[in-house]
Amino acid sequence: MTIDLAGLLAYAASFGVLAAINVVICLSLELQWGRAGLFNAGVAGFVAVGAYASALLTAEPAAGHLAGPGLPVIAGLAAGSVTAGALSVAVGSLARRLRGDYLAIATFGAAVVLELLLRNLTPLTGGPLGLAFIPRPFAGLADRPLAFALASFAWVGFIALVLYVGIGRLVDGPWGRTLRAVRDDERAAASLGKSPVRFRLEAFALGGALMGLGGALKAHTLGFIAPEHFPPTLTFQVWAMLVLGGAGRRQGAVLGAVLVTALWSATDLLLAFFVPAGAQAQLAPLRIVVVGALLALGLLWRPRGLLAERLRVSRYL
Amino acid sequence: MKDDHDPRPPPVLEARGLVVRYGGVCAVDGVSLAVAAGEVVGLVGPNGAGKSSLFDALAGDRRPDSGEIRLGGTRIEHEGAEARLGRGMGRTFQVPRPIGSLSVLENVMLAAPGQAGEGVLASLCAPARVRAAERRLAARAAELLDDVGLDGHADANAAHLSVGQRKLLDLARLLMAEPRVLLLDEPMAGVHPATAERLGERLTALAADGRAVLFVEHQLGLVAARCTRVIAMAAGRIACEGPPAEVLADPRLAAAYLGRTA
Repeated sequence: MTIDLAGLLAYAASFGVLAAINVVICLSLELQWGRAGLFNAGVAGFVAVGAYASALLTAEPAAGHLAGPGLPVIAGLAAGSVTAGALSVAVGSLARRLRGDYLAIATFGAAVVLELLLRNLTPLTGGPLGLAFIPRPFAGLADRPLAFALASFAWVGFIALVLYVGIGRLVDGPWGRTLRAVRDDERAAASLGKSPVRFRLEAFALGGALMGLGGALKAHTLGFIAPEHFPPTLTFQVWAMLVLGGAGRRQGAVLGAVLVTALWSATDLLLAFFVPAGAQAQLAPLRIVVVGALLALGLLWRPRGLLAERLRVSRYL
Repeated sequence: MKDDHDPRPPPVLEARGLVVRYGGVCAVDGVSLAVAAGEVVGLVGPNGAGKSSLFDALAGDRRPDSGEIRLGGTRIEHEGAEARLGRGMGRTFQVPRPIGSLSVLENVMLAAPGQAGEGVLASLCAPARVRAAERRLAARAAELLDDVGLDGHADANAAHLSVGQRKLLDLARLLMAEPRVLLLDEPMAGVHPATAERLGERLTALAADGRAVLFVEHQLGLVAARCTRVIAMAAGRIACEGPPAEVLADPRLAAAYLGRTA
């Protein structure tokens, strides 16, 4: 048996695309939970909103549904982020003061409502079948899998890198410092003139917008989306990434995202190679069990994640 | 009411008829007071007299059930703590509240008002400006830590400080916010006597600088040494008020501490 080097490389690049998208989504949750202590139980919903908004605005007009004006992908990414960010502001304002359990319930509820809308608002969302023919950058290379995978990894990876750097400027500076104060002791922060509501809402909106961006990236790399791409287990997966990697540190979010994506892909391969085709569908849910078990072990060994939060905030000292 | 020839500057902080109730308990029962720039006013009285509740109402941590609060002539009783700090009045807490996930130095830097880097856009687009501001803040914060005697602890985790050190950190943090009116809730409790003495000097210097200081303290010696005026509270009301020597000798104060009404 010869090893197909090009095939292997293409697989690695596709894995890289998937991992980079998960890094974006996990960094968003890190912003909300790690830095601001905001419990988002509806990650999948915010990701889905970004994906559908971008897909609808970039797709060519077609018979049967309301797909849109065929804007360039970059405009779609921006629109996906803005839409998800606006949704975050709405949900955040409803869960007034954005505290603890109320926010968790509000975000969970929002995600459930969104999933129902995606499945049933067929003229807009395509219903259970979803949306297809979403433009993919470098689609001209699609008949050369290696070149296409590498190009996709390059542009998605670039966006993830820009976000990583940008979020760093925010959270490792005065903004992140005040956010930590608000997270740890709201009353002390307010007594120092900091508005807890303002900082929480900023973190929640920014995190939500970046989740939307992650969803839009998903749409433009897959080329089609359906409600099943944004199941409630997606929320669980992203939380598992963050908790394993370590909330309160960007590197933790990245590490967790890459690890869980790798585990997910590895179990996918194991299923494909070692399980008869007929049984694959039944065994696929076991992957959730594997991630859950890993999460439990991680929490036992390193309760604060592989990379724990550091004391110093300001990168300028 | 006010003498036209009163040489004192007009009050910066003024409260009239403040009432704070917890259910059926009236913790602050119609308190009126005024603190002028340049004054150090001591607030004394036994536990449960309503001093901390009065502070909570003045600082905006608890909305008074009735009464007026004015800062520089503006009514502020409807505003929250963060807005009142923006107007120039800040507090420390009886049980200090350090941010445990920050270093001591960053706890102090945190309090600086109007930081460019607290804006999302400025942080993203003008890192050079943020860096310059951070350097200035760090230098100023180090100065204040030095002032309160916490130099050498700048890089420590704020959660690891002793209670007395936390009090000092609370004070340094408040000073970083540069308020005109300082409400200090037992700033010297648990603090080493030598440091407490230094803090006392610091309060006098702040007043000389034109700020108004209102502070709760149980060590009456410190109160006598540092205050220009003393207000004694008992059972939610002002029992007596005046120069330290008079108030501390007033039988009503002793009666309040001993639980009797004079």
